[in-house]
Amino acid sequence: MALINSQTRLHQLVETLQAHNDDFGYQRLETPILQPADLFLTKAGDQLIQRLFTFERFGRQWALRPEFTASAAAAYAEMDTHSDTPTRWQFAGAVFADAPESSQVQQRYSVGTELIGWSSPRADAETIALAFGGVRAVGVPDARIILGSVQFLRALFEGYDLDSRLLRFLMEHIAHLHTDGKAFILDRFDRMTTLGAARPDSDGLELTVLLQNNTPLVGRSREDILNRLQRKTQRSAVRGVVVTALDQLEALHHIAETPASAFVRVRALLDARQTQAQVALDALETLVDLLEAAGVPADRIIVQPTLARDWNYYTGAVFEVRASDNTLLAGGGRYDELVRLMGGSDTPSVGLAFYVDDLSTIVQHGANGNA
Amino acid sequence: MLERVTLALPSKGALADPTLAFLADCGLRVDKPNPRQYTGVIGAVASVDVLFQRVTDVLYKVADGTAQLGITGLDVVHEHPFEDVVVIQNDLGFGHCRLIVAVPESWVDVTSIIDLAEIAIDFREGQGRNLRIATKFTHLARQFLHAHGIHQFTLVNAEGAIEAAPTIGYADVIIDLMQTGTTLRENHLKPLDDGVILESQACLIGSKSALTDMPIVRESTRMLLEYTDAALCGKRYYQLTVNIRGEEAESIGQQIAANPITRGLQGPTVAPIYGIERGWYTVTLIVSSRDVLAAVDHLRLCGAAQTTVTPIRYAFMASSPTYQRLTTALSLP
Repeated sequence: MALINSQTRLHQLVETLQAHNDDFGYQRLETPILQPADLFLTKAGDQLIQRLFTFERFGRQWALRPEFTASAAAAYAEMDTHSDTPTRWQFAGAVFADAPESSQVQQRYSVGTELIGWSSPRADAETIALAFGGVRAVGVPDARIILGSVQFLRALFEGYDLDSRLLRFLMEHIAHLHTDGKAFILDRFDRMTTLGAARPDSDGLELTVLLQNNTPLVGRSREDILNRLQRKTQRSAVRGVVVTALDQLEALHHIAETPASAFVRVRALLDARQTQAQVALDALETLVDLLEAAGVPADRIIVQPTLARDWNYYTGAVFEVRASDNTLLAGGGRYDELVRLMGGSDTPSVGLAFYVDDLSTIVQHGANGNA
Repeated sequence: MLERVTLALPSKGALADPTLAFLADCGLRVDKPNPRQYTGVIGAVASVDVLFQRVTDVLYKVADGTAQLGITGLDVVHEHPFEDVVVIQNDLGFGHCRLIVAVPESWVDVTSIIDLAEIAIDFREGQGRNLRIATKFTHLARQFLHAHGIHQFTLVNAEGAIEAAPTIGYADVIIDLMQTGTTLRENHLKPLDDGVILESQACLIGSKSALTDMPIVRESTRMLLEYTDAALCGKRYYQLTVNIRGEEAESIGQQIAANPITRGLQGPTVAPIYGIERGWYTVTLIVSSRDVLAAVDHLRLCGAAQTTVTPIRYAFMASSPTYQRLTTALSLP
């Protein structure tokens, strides 16, 4: 009976969320449960990829969908014509996560929305308000919105004089700042710049000799190898810049508070040269204003500039909706590059996902608590 | 109810002969009545039938219950995880090798896995194709690469001569087993400094459900482990028999026990020699095989005239430590 009861609750919850999304004009659609794994591998973060359930069939790698956004972006990219007004889609169904050390596959229920083709911050505000409103509609009155910005982080790093690979390296390692700390990231950086412990005697001469003899080059040209070698040795010169960047990131990492004080503290940590980061911060502040105008109380908003989500496809504002006990109930953000990566044209988009199982648990606890 | 237990052993490959040598060394000689058949028996443990299979099939046979026990490589067990298979002993002490990532020697700029991650992006962005990796360990390879931030690659599935793949041109790098590194060097490849995916050696595996449900499987496993534990433990010690001249047994015993090296497991045994001359004693003690010379030197200081050293065939403890660990891990009766 317990199983049936929880199933009934889950489905009522899904109905409520879908009806809520209907009110905002989101069309109900489906994405395939089984997809080529590449679709998700392109832009998933490290932690997420290890939880992607994949298997091989007829020499091809397949995955059970872990979410809806990548499929939605791919579907949008495939469409022949796009309307001038923004596209609003919603999805509901099972999503899957693998537990790599056991035979268990976690099946969970998710409801997601995608607002495609609108670059205005109003699209971000609509999505976040939709998430917050949905969580309230199913009966969680005391949820908080945690707001961050990938655009801000990118701008921050672009203010430093680093090559594109190092920028990418730092962006991909932001999540590690939360889990493994600064030293871990710096250790990885050092391994990118040294020639390896096993060959301390390596010098230019030995390399030239090695490159002149007849060892096969395998897929790379002599120039490729020498250029990269040069890039690698030059990188040790920017170690100081990387340390400064990580220090700044770590200081920012401690900020997670209401907008008024958060923006003041973040601005105080910025260098005058980081003008693009200032611009991104202004955009985030505009978004907070729009959210308040949309009826989200300011004391329900936490600004956390280093907020990192599991997906690497985000490009702008990112957010989470959490219960008072910190359970993650919904999350999402802006992903302006994904549709292009899926073979379409540049298309600004914002999406969100409700984590229905955890929502159901919180709602149930709330009901028991009030009884 | 099962009355006999099947132990699957490698029939071919690098583990086949060392497995038989190891078992014989433990006193578990495998007799093959007919060399063309795939079965055998172990005289010392009468309830066990031996089934010869390829290393991967050893695992499959234990996983599907055809065999209840097996000896195979850790690399095989980790590549094909089965819920019902338990590793009973993960260090049988032979068949050592490493699963490693190796790149062309000419890639002088690539020494670590972080370098390889960058090369993977170079291939994708510069040449518009994925980095190709030849391996037969697709599961472990994928896990390792993703865990190290390499997401854009194509695995080229190959069964043999993997180390030749980069030279032939159907892959850029390889993930394969390495014993000495000679084969890699001959094929102009080098292992990455931090590219060791797995340290492998021979291991004893068992079927969890068979061990849980069938008393005869437990009893046969215990008997096998008694032999292997005692033999492996015995290799770590030598028995020393020493003729010593001295005043009395008590002081000789105390002098020898004062040094941790010659204290042995419990302490020396000292017995008088009834010869022509009075004042001679025989001391028997067990020392670690690493400390034999240090022990002999100390015994000389104590007055040793002659010392003989004998290898120890078996050292049985109060019970088989490996079997104790297994019963705890699986909550066996």
